[in-house]
Amino acid sequence: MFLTLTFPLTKFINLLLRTFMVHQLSLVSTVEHGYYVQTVATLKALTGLQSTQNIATYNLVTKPHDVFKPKVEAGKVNQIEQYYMKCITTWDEDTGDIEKPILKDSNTVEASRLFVGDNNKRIWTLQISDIPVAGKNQTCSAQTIYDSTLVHHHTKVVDKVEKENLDQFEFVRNDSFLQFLSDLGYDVINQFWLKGVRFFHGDIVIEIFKVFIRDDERQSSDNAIALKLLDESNTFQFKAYINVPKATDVDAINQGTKELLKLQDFLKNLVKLEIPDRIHMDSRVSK
Amino acid sequence: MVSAIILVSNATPDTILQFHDQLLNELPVLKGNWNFSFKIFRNNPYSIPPEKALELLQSDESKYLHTWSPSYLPGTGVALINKSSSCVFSQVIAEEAGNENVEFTIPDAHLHQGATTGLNDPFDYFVAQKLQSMWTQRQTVKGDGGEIYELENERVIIRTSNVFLHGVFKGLLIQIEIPSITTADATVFDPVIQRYRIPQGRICAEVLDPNLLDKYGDLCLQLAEILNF
Repeated sequence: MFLTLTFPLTKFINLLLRTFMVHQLSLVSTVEHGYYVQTVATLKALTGLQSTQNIATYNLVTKPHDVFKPKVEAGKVNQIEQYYMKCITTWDEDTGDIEKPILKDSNTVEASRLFVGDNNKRIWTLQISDIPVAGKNQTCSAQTIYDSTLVHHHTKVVDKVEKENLDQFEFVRNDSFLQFLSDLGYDVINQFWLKGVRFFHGDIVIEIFKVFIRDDERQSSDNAIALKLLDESNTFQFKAYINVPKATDVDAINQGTKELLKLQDFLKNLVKLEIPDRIHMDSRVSK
Repeated sequence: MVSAIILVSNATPDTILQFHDQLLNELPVLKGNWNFSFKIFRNNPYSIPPEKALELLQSDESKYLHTWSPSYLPGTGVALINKSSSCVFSQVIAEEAGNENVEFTIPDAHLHQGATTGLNDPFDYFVAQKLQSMWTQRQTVKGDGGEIYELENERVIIRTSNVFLHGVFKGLLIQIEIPSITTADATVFDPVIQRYRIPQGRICAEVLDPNLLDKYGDLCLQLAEILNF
Protein backbone atom coordinates (compact mmCIF):
# COMPACT_ATOMS: atom_id res chain seq x y z
CA MET A 1 0.00 0.00 0.00
CA PHE A 2 2.83 2.27 0.90
CA LEU A 3 4.49 1.87 -2.47
CA THR A 4 1.38 2.50 -4.50
CA LEU A 5 0.77 5.61 -2.49
CA THR A 6 4.17 7.18 -2.88
CA PHE A 7 5.30 6.10 -6.31
CA PRO A 8 3.10 8.32 -8.49
CA LEU A 9 3.90 11.25 -6.26
CA THR A 10 7.67 10.80 -6.54
CA LYS A 11 7.30 10.46 -10.29
CA PHE A 12 5.32 13.66 -10.22
CA ILE A 13 7.96 15.39 -8.12
CA ASN A 14 10.68 14.36 -10.55
CA LEU A 15 8.65 15.83 -13.33
CA LEU A 16 8.62 19.10 -11.48
CA LEU A 17 12.22 19.23 -10.34
CA ARG A 18 13.29 21.09 -13.40
CA THR A 19 14.05 24.63 -14.22
CA PHE A 20 12.72 26.24 -17.30
CA MET A 21 14.32 29.46 -18.51
CA VAL A 22 11.73 29.80 -21.23
CA HIS A 23 13.19 30.69 -24.58
CA GLN A 24 10.66 32.78 -26.45
CA LEU A 25 10.75 33.12 -30.24
CA SER A 26 8.53 35.90 -31.48
CA LEU A 27 7.43 38.12 -34.33
CA VAL A 28 5.23 41.18 -33.94
CA SER A 29 3.01 43.46 -35.94
CA THR A 30 0.02 45.76 -35.59
CA VAL A 31 -3.53 45.42 -36.86
CA GLU A 32 -5.61 48.50 -37.60
CA HIS A 33 -8.96 48.49 -35.94
CA GLY A 34 -10.87 48.20 -39.21
CA TYR A 35 -9.05 44.96 -40.06
CA TYR A 36 -9.63 43.28 -36.73
CA VAL A 37 -12.72 41.28 -37.71
CA GLN A 38 -11.08 40.06 -40.89
CA THR A 39 -7.89 39.13 -39.04
CA VAL A 40 -9.78 37.17 -36.42
CA ALA A 41 -11.81 35.37 -39.10
CA THR A 42 -8.63 34.44 -40.97
CA LEU A 43 -6.96 33.18 -37.82
CA LYS A 44 -10.03 31.16 -36.91
CA ALA A 45 -9.89 29.52 -40.31
CA LEU A 46 -6.14 28.94 -40.01
CA THR A 47 -6.21 27.48 -36.53
CA GLY A 48 -9.57 25.76 -36.79
CA LEU A 49 -10.58 27.25 -33.46
CA GLN A 50 -14.18 28.28 -33.15
CA SER A 51 -13.77 30.36 -30.05
CA THR A 52 -10.76 32.38 -29.05
CA GLN A 53 -9.23 32.48 -25.62
CA ASN A 54 -9.60 35.83 -23.91
CA ILE A 55 -6.53 37.27 -22.27
CA ALA A 56 -6.61 40.05 -19.72
CA THR A 57 -3.75 41.00 -17.44
CA TYR A 58 -2.73 43.72 -15.05
CA ASN A 59 0.98 44.44 -15.09
CA LEU A 60 3.22 46.34 -12.70
CA VAL A 61 6.58 47.51 -13.95
CA THR A 62 9.10 47.50 -11.14
CA LYS A 63 12.65 48.71 -10.80
CA PRO A 64 15.32 47.88 -8.21
CA HIS A 65 15.22 50.35 -5.34
CA ASP A 66 18.93 50.38 -4.57
CA VAL A 67 21.77 51.80 -6.60
CA PHE A 68 24.14 49.09 -7.77
CA LYS A 69 27.79 50.12 -7.63
CA PRO A 70 29.95 47.04 -8.24
CA LYS A 71 33.65 47.27 -7.46
CA VAL A 72 35.58 47.86 -10.64
CA GLU A 73 38.64 45.69 -10.76
CA ALA A 74 41.20 45.61 -13.53
CA GLY A 75 40.84 42.54 -15.70
CA LYS A 76 37.54 41.53 -14.16
CA VAL A 77 34.37 41.89 -16.16
CA ASN A 78 31.30 42.53 -14.13
CA GLN A 79 28.55 40.23 -15.31
CA ILE A 80 25.95 41.19 -12.77
CA GLU A 81 23.21 43.50 -13.96
CA GLN A 82 20.13 45.04 -12.45
CA TYR A 83 16.89 44.22 -14.22
CA TYR A 84 13.45 45.71 -14.44
CA MET A 85 10.85 43.20 -13.38
CA LYS A 86 7.26 42.79 -14.45
CA CYS A 87 4.62 41.56 -12.00
CA ILE A 88 1.61 40.13 -13.73
CA THR A 89 -1.80 39.17 -12.45
CA THR A 90 -5.17 38.62 -14.07
CA TRP A 91 -7.50 41.52 -14.85
CA ASP A 92 -10.87 40.14 -13.96
CA GLU A 93 -13.34 42.91 -14.76
CA ASP A 94 -15.54 42.67 -17.76
CA THR A 95 -14.79 45.78 -19.80
CA GLY A 96 -16.80 44.94 -22.86
CA ASP A 97 -15.80 43.61 -26.20
CA ILE A 98 -12.46 44.75 -27.56
CA GLU A 99 -13.96 44.53 -31.03
CA LYS A 100 -15.65 47.87 -30.40
CA PRO A 101 -13.41 50.89 -30.72
CA ILE A 102 -12.81 52.92 -27.58
CA LEU A 103 -13.37 56.58 -28.28
CA LYS A 104 -11.97 59.31 -26.14
CA ASP A 105 -15.32 60.93 -25.41
CA SER A 106 -17.28 57.83 -24.54
CA ASN A 107 -14.57 55.85 -22.79
CA THR A 108 -15.81 54.15 -19.64
CA VAL A 109 -13.10 51.56 -19.12
CA GLU A 110 -12.06 51.21 -15.51
CA ALA A 111 -10.08 48.82 -13.40
CA SER A 112 -10.75 48.32 -9.71
CA ARG A 113 -8.06 49.27 -7.25
CA LEU A 114 -6.42 46.04 -6.22
CA PHE A 115 -4.46 47.34 -3.33
CA VAL A 116 -7.33 48.76 -1.34
CA GLY A 117 -8.32 46.61 1.58
CA ASP A 118 -7.41 43.02 2.06
CA ASN A 119 -6.68 41.30 -1.20
CA ASN A 120 -4.26 38.61 -0.19
CA LYS A 121 -5.61 35.95 -2.47
CA ARG A 122 -4.18 37.41 -5.65
CA ILE A 123 -1.67 35.35 -7.61
CA TRP A 124 1.31 37.23 -9.06
CA THR A 125 3.86 36.12 -11.63
CA LEU A 126 7.24 37.77 -11.37
CA GLN A 127 8.92 37.95 -14.74
CA ILE A 128 12.35 39.10 -15.87
CA SER A 129 13.31 38.84 -19.54
CA ASP A 130 16.78 38.96 -21.00
CA ILE A 131 17.52 41.27 -23.89
CA PRO A 132 16.81 39.35 -27.14
CA VAL A 133 19.73 37.48 -28.66
CA ALA A 134 21.91 39.67 -30.89
CA GLY A 135 23.28 38.76 -34.29
CA LYS A 136 22.96 39.29 -37.98
CA ASN A 137 20.58 37.36 -40.23
CA GLN A 138 18.03 36.91 -37.49
CA THR A 139 14.70 35.64 -38.68
CA CYS A 140 12.83 36.13 -35.43
CA SER A 141 13.35 37.63 -32.01
CA ALA A 142 14.67 35.17 -29.44
CA GLN A 143 14.87 35.93 -25.74
CA THR A 144 15.05 34.08 -22.47
CA ILE A 145 12.28 34.68 -19.95
CA TYR A 146 12.38 33.83 -16.26
CA ASP A 147 8.99 33.38 -14.62
CA SER A 148 8.20 32.61 -11.01
CA THR A 149 4.68 32.59 -9.62
CA LEU A 150 3.71 33.63 -6.12
CA VAL A 151 0.61 31.85 -4.87
CA HIS A 152 0.48 32.92 -1.25
CA HIS A 153 2.06 35.63 0.82
CA HIS A 154 2.13 36.69 4.42
CA THR A 155 3.79 39.60 6.12
CA LYS A 156 4.58 40.44 9.67
CA VAL A 157 2.38 43.41 10.51
CA VAL A 158 4.29 46.63 10.03
CA ASP A 159 3.29 50.08 11.11
CA LYS A 160 1.66 52.07 8.40
CA VAL A 161 4.14 54.45 6.89
CA GLU A 162 2.90 57.31 4.81
CA LYS A 163 5.02 57.67 1.74
CA GLU A 164 4.41 60.46 -0.69
CA ASN A 165 5.58 58.77 -3.83
CA LEU A 166 3.33 55.79 -3.22
CA ASP A 167 0.35 58.07 -3.37
CA GLN A 168 0.76 58.33 -7.05
CA PHE A 169 -0.33 54.74 -7.50
CA GLU A 170 -2.78 54.89 -4.64
CA PHE A 171 -1.50 51.79 -2.97
CA VAL A 172 -2.36 51.10 0.57
CA ARG A 173 0.63 50.29 2.66
CA ASN A 174 -0.69 47.22 4.42
CA ASP A 175 -1.10 45.14 1.30
CA SER A 176 1.53 42.55 1.79
CA PHE A 177 2.33 41.97 -1.89
CA LEU A 178 3.66 45.52 -2.12
CA GLN A 179 5.43 45.00 1.17
CA PHE A 180 6.92 41.82 -0.25
CA LEU A 181 8.08 43.66 -3.38
CA SER A 182 9.70 46.38 -1.37
CA ASP A 183 11.38 43.81 0.92
CA LEU A 184 12.64 42.02 -2.16
CA GLY A 185 14.15 45.33 -3.28
CA TYR A 186 11.79 46.53 -6.01
CA ASP A 187 9.75 49.72 -6.43
CA VAL A 188 6.68 49.99 -8.63
CA ILE A 189 7.34 52.61 -11.29
CA ASN A 190 4.53 52.09 -13.77
CA GLN A 191 1.51 49.97 -14.53
CA PHE A 192 -0.48 48.90 -17.54
CA TRP A 193 -3.39 46.67 -18.44
CA LEU A 194 -3.62 44.36 -21.40
CA LYS A 195 -6.70 42.87 -22.99
CA GLY A 196 -7.14 40.76 -26.08
CA VAL A 197 -7.65 37.36 -27.58
CA ARG A 198 -5.37 34.52 -28.49
CA PHE A 199 -5.19 31.61 -30.88
CA PHE A 200 -3.14 28.45 -30.92
CA HIS A 201 -1.61 27.11 -34.08
CA GLY A 202 0.54 24.10 -33.38
CA ASP A 203 3.09 25.37 -30.91
CA ILE A 204 2.54 28.97 -31.96
CA VAL A 205 0.51 31.29 -29.78
CA ILE A 206 -0.99 34.26 -31.60
CA GLU A 207 -2.13 37.19 -29.47
CA ILE A 208 -4.05 40.28 -30.57
CA PHE A 209 -4.43 42.85 -27.84
CA LYS A 210 -4.76 46.45 -26.75
CA VAL A 211 -2.77 48.09 -23.99
CA PHE A 212 -4.42 50.39 -21.46
CA ILE A 213 -2.81 52.92 -19.19
CA ARG A 214 -4.08 55.10 -16.41
CA ASP A 215 -6.14 58.12 -17.45
CA ASP A 216 -5.61 60.96 -15.03
CA GLU A 217 -7.87 63.40 -16.83
CA ARG A 218 -11.01 61.40 -16.36
CA GLN A 219 -12.95 61.05 -13.12
CA SER A 220 -13.37 57.44 -12.07
CA SER A 221 -15.95 55.86 -9.80
CA ASP A 222 -15.04 54.89 -6.25
CA ASN A 223 -12.27 52.35 -5.81
CA ALA A 224 -11.52 52.28 -9.51
CA ILE A 225 -8.91 53.67 -11.84
CA ALA A 226 -9.97 55.30 -15.10
CA LEU A 227 -8.13 53.83 -18.06
CA LYS A 228 -7.37 54.96 -21.58
CA LEU A 229 -5.76 53.28 -24.53
CA LEU A 230 -2.02 53.60 -24.85
CA ASP A 231 -2.48 53.88 -28.58
CA GLU A 232 -5.56 56.04 -29.06
CA SER A 233 -5.89 55.11 -32.72
CA ASN A 234 -7.40 51.81 -31.50
CA THR A 235 -4.74 49.84 -33.33
CA PHE A 236 -4.22 46.31 -32.04
CA GLN A 237 -0.87 44.80 -31.18
CA PHE A 238 -0.21 41.48 -32.85
CA LYS A 239 2.27 39.00 -31.45
CA ALA A 240 3.05 35.46 -32.60
CA TYR A 241 5.35 33.45 -30.37
CA ILE A 242 6.58 30.03 -29.36
CA ASN A 243 7.80 29.28 -25.87
CA VAL A 244 10.56 26.68 -25.96
CA PRO A 245 10.74 25.21 -22.45
CA LYS A 246 14.51 24.98 -22.42
CA ALA A 247 16.90 27.62 -23.70
CA THR A 248 19.48 24.91 -24.47
CA ASP A 249 17.22 22.85 -26.71
CA VAL A 250 18.68 23.90 -30.08
CA ASP A 251 16.57 21.48 -32.13
CA ALA A 252 13.33 22.79 -30.68
CA ILE A 253 14.48 26.37 -31.25
CA ASN A 254 15.34 25.70 -34.91
CA GLN A 255 12.06 23.91 -35.44
CA GLY A 256 10.14 26.73 -33.76
CA THR A 257 11.87 29.34 -35.91
CA LYS A 258 10.84 27.44 -39.04
CA GLU A 259 7.24 27.27 -37.90
CA LEU A 260 7.14 30.99 -37.16
CA LEU A 261 8.54 31.80 -40.61
CA LYS A 262 5.90 29.60 -42.20
CA LEU A 263 3.24 31.58 -40.37
CA GLN A 264 4.88 34.85 -41.39
CA ASP A 265 4.68 33.78 -45.01
CA PHE A 266 1.12 32.54 -44.70
CA LEU A 267 -0.15 35.77 -43.17
CA LYS A 268 1.93 38.12 -45.31
CA ASN A 269 -1.07 39.67 -47.07
CA LEU A 270 -2.86 40.28 -43.80
CA VAL A 271 -0.18 41.39 -41.36
CA LYS A 272 3.48 42.08 -41.86
CA LEU A 273 5.17 40.14 -39.08
CA GLU A 274 8.48 41.69 -38.08
CA ILE A 275 11.27 41.29 -35.58
CA PRO A 276 10.81 43.74 -32.71
CA ASP A 277 13.66 46.14 -32.03
CA ARG A 278 15.81 44.37 -29.46
CA ILE A 279 17.15 47.60 -27.99
CA HIS A 280 13.62 48.53 -26.90
CA MET A 281 13.36 45.16 -25.18
CA ASP A 282 16.43 45.63 -23.04
CA SER A 283 15.36 45.02 -19.45
CA ARG A 284 18.67 46.03 -17.87
CA VAL A 285 18.69 49.11 -15.72
CA SER A 286 21.03 51.57 -17.41
CA LYS A 287 23.84 52.94 -15.31
CA MET B 1 -1.20 24.83 12.91
CA VAL B 2 1.71 25.48 15.22
CA SER B 3 5.19 24.15 14.60
CA ALA B 4 8.62 24.00 16.20
CA ILE B 5 12.02 23.13 14.87
CA ILE B 6 14.68 21.40 16.94
CA LEU B 7 18.23 20.84 15.82
CA VAL B 8 20.19 18.21 17.70
CA SER B 9 23.65 19.26 16.67
CA ASN B 10 25.62 16.65 18.63
CA ALA B 11 23.56 13.76 17.26
CA THR B 12 25.43 10.52 16.67
CA PRO B 13 24.22 7.53 14.65
CA ASP B 14 23.29 5.92 17.98
CA THR B 15 21.09 8.76 19.20
CA ILE B 16 19.39 9.02 15.81
CA LEU B 17 18.63 5.29 15.67
CA GLN B 18 17.45 5.31 19.25
CA PHE B 19 15.10 8.20 18.58
CA HIS B 20 13.65 6.51 15.48
CA ASP B 21 13.12 3.31 17.51
CA GLN B 22 11.31 5.22 20.22
CA LEU B 23 8.99 6.83 17.70
CA LEU B 24 8.31 3.48 16.05
CA ASN B 25 7.33 2.06 19.46
CA GLU B 26 4.47 4.55 19.54
CA LEU B 27 3.01 2.86 16.46
CA PRO B 28 2.94 5.91 14.24
CA VAL B 29 1.53 6.06 10.74
CA LEU B 30 4.57 6.26 8.46
CA LYS B 31 4.09 8.88 5.81
CA GLY B 32 7.18 8.18 3.77
CA ASN B 33 10.44 9.97 3.22
CA TRP B 34 11.23 13.56 2.58
CA ASN B 35 14.16 15.86 2.01
CA PHE B 36 14.62 19.55 1.60
CA SER B 37 16.94 22.23 0.44
CA PHE B 38 17.31 25.48 2.31
CA LYS B 39 19.23 28.36 0.78
CA ILE B 40 20.50 31.46 2.48
CA PHE B 41 20.97 34.62 0.44
CA ARG B 42 22.47 37.85 1.74
CA ASN B 43 22.00 41.31 0.32
CA ASN B 44 24.64 42.19 -2.24
CA PRO B 45 26.76 44.81 -0.47
CA TYR B 46 27.24 46.73 -3.71
CA SER B 47 23.52 47.49 -3.85
CA ILE B 48 23.24 50.68 -1.84
CA PRO B 49 20.08 52.56 -0.84
CA PRO B 50 19.83 55.67 -3.08
CA GLU B 51 20.04 58.13 -0.18
CA LYS B 52 23.43 56.71 0.85
CA ALA B 53 24.77 55.93 -2.61
CA LEU B 54 27.06 58.94 -2.76
CA GLU B 55 28.81 58.46 0.53
CA LEU B 56 29.10 54.69 0.81
CA LEU B 57 31.00 52.19 -1.30
CA GLN B 58 29.22 49.25 0.24
CA SER B 59 25.87 48.98 1.91
CA ASP B 60 26.00 49.10 5.70
CA GLU B 61 22.81 47.06 6.03
CA SER B 62 22.64 43.35 6.29
CA LYS B 63 19.53 41.56 5.13
CA TYR B 64 18.73 37.95 4.46
CA LEU B 65 16.54 36.02 2.10
CA HIS B 66 15.85 32.37 2.86
CA THR B 67 14.28 29.87 0.52
CA TRP B 68 13.03 26.46 1.56
CA SER B 69 11.81 23.69 -0.74
CA PRO B 70 10.60 20.58 1.07
CA SER B 71 9.92 17.55 -1.11
CA TYR B 72 6.52 17.01 0.49
CA LEU B 73 5.32 20.16 -1.28
CA PRO B 74 6.07 19.21 -4.89
CA GLY B 75 6.95 22.09 -7.18
CA THR B 76 6.65 24.55 -4.34
CA GLY B 77 9.14 26.80 -2.61
CA VAL B 78 8.74 29.03 0.42
CA ALA B 79 10.72 32.26 0.67
CA LEU B 80 11.27 34.51 3.65
CA ILE B 81 12.76 37.96 3.28
CA ASN B 82 14.41 39.73 6.15
CA LYS B 83 12.54 37.46 8.56
CA SER B 84 9.39 39.51 7.99
CA SER B 85 7.81 38.82 4.59
CA SER B 86 7.07 35.28 3.55
CA CYS B 87 5.64 33.92 0.34
CA VAL B 88 4.95 30.63 -1.35
CA PHE B 89 5.87 30.07 -5.00
CA SER B 90 4.42 27.27 -7.09
CA GLN B 91 5.39 25.78 -10.42
CA VAL B 92 2.30 23.62 -10.78
CA ILE B 93 -0.72 24.72 -12.79
CA ALA B 94 -3.92 23.34 -11.23
CA GLU B 95 -4.93 21.42 -14.36
CA GLU B 96 -1.43 19.88 -14.58
CA ALA B 97 -1.74 18.55 -11.06
CA GLY B 98 -4.93 16.70 -11.98
CA ASN B 99 -5.97 14.42 -9.16
CA GLU B 100 -2.66 14.59 -7.35
CA ASN B 101 -3.09 16.19 -3.98
CA VAL B 102 -0.92 19.27 -4.33
CA GLU B 103 -1.37 21.96 -1.70
CA PHE B 104 -0.24 24.97 -3.76
CA THR B 105 -1.13 25.32 -7.40
CA ILE B 106 -1.48 28.18 -9.84
CA PRO B 107 -5.17 28.57 -10.78
CA ASP B 108 -5.96 27.68 -14.41
CA ALA B 109 -7.31 31.19 -15.08
CA HIS B 110 -3.91 32.68 -14.34
CA LEU B 111 -2.45 30.70 -17.25
CA HIS B 112 -5.44 31.06 -19.57
CA GLN B 113 -5.67 34.82 -19.18
CA GLY B 114 -2.03 35.15 -20.10
CA ALA B 115 -0.47 36.12 -16.78
CA THR B 116 2.14 33.35 -16.85
CA THR B 117 3.87 31.36 -19.57
CA GLY B 118 3.04 28.23 -17.59
CA LEU B 119 6.73 27.37 -17.45
CA ASN B 120 7.70 28.67 -14.03
CA ASP B 121 11.14 28.54 -12.48
CA PRO B 122 11.62 27.79 -8.80
CA PHE B 123 11.96 31.08 -6.91
CA ASP B 124 15.45 30.28 -5.54
CA TYR B 125 16.64 29.74 -9.11
CA PHE B 126 14.97 33.00 -10.21
CA VAL B 127 16.75 34.90 -7.44
CA ALA B 128 20.10 33.24 -8.11
CA GLN B 129 19.88 33.96 -11.84
CA LYS B 130 18.30 37.37 -12.13
CA LEU B 131 18.46 39.12 -8.78
CA GLN B 132 22.20 38.74 -8.21
CA SER B 133 22.59 42.49 -7.96
CA MET B 134 20.44 42.37 -4.83
CA TRP B 135 20.88 38.92 -3.34
CA THR B 136 23.93 36.69 -3.36
CA GLN B 137 23.73 33.09 -2.33
CA ARG B 138 25.78 32.32 0.76
CA GLN B 139 24.88 28.83 1.90
CA THR B 140 22.96 25.78 0.87
CA VAL B 141 21.68 23.52 3.62
CA LYS B 142 20.37 20.13 2.58
CA GLY B 143 18.15 17.77 4.52
CA ASP B 144 18.43 14.10 3.57
CA GLY B 145 17.05 10.78 4.71
CA GLY B 146 14.00 12.32 6.29
CA GLU B 147 11.14 10.35 7.82
CA ILE B 148 7.59 11.48 8.48
CA TYR B 149 5.71 10.12 11.50
CA GLU B 150 2.07 10.77 12.17
CA LEU B 151 1.23 10.21 15.83
CA GLU B 152 -1.80 10.24 18.11
CA ASN B 153 -4.31 10.01 15.29
CA GLU B 154 -2.85 12.90 13.31
CA ARG B 155 -2.63 15.14 16.35
CA VAL B 156 1.15 15.36 16.14
CA ILE B 157 3.34 15.11 13.06
CA ILE B 158 7.07 14.67 13.52
CA ARG B 159 9.45 14.97 10.60
CA THR B 160 13.09 14.15 11.06
CA SER B 161 15.94 14.83 8.72
CA ASN B 162 19.72 14.74 8.69
CA VAL B 163 21.09 18.18 7.98
CA PHE B 164 24.16 18.82 5.85
CA LEU B 165 25.90 22.09 5.15
CA HIS B 166 27.93 21.78 1.95
CA GLY B 167 28.15 18.04 2.55
CA VAL B 168 29.18 18.24 6.22
CA PHE B 169 26.80 16.68 8.74
CA LYS B 170 25.38 19.33 11.04
CA GLY B 171 22.87 17.43 13.12
CA LEU B 172 19.44 15.90 13.31
CA LEU B 173 16.55 18.20 12.53
CA ILE B 174 13.21 17.47 14.16
CA GLN B 175 10.16 19.32 12.94
CA ILE B 176 7.12 19.06 15.19
CA GLU B 177 3.72 20.08 13.88
CA ILE B 178 0.45 20.20 15.81
CA PRO B 179 -2.30 20.92 13.26
CA SER B 180 -5.15 21.28 15.76
CA ILE B 181 -3.69 24.16 17.76
CA THR B 182 -4.25 27.57 16.21
CA THR B 183 -2.73 30.00 18.69
CA ALA B 184 0.97 30.63 18.99
CA ASP B 185 2.21 29.20 22.29
CA ALA B 186 5.66 27.73 22.65
CA THR B 187 4.72 25.74 25.76
CA VAL B 188 2.49 23.29 23.84
CA PHE B 189 5.63 21.53 22.63
CA ASP B 190 6.93 20.65 26.10
CA PRO B 191 4.60 17.66 26.64
CA VAL B 192 5.40 16.38 23.13
CA ILE B 193 9.13 16.67 23.74
CA GLN B 194 8.81 14.81 27.04
CA ARG B 195 6.48 12.14 25.77
CA TYR B 196 8.59 11.20 22.77
CA ARG B 197 11.89 11.85 24.57
CA ILE B 198 13.08 14.13 21.82
CA PRO B 199 16.84 14.64 22.24
CA GLN B 200 17.97 18.00 23.53
CA GLY B 201 18.89 20.67 21.05
CA ARG B 202 18.24 24.21 20.02
CA ILE B 203 14.52 24.78 19.66
CA CYS B 204 12.67 27.54 17.89
CA ALA B 205 8.90 28.04 17.84
CA GLU B 206 8.82 31.70 16.82
CA VAL B 207 6.14 32.97 14.48
CA LEU B 208 6.01 35.95 12.14
CA ASP B 209 2.76 37.34 13.48
CA PRO B 210 1.21 35.79 16.62
CA ASN B 211 -2.23 37.10 15.62
CA LEU B 212 -2.19 35.51 12.22
CA LEU B 213 -0.31 32.25 11.93
CA ASP B 214 1.06 31.23 8.56
CA LYS B 215 1.98 27.54 8.33
CA TYR B 216 4.88 27.71 5.90
CA GLY B 217 6.04 31.26 6.60
CA ASP B 218 6.41 30.40 10.28
CA LEU B 219 8.23 27.14 9.52
CA CYS B 220 10.61 29.00 7.24
CA LEU B 221 11.28 31.56 9.99
CA GLN B 222 12.01 28.77 12.48
CA LEU B 223 14.40 27.11 10.04
CA ALA B 224 16.09 30.45 9.39
CA GLU B 225 16.70 30.85 13.11
CA ILE B 226 17.96 27.30 13.60
CA LEU B 227 19.93 26.59 10.43
CA ASN B 228 22.13 29.58 10.99
CA PHE B 229 25.62 28.10 11.03
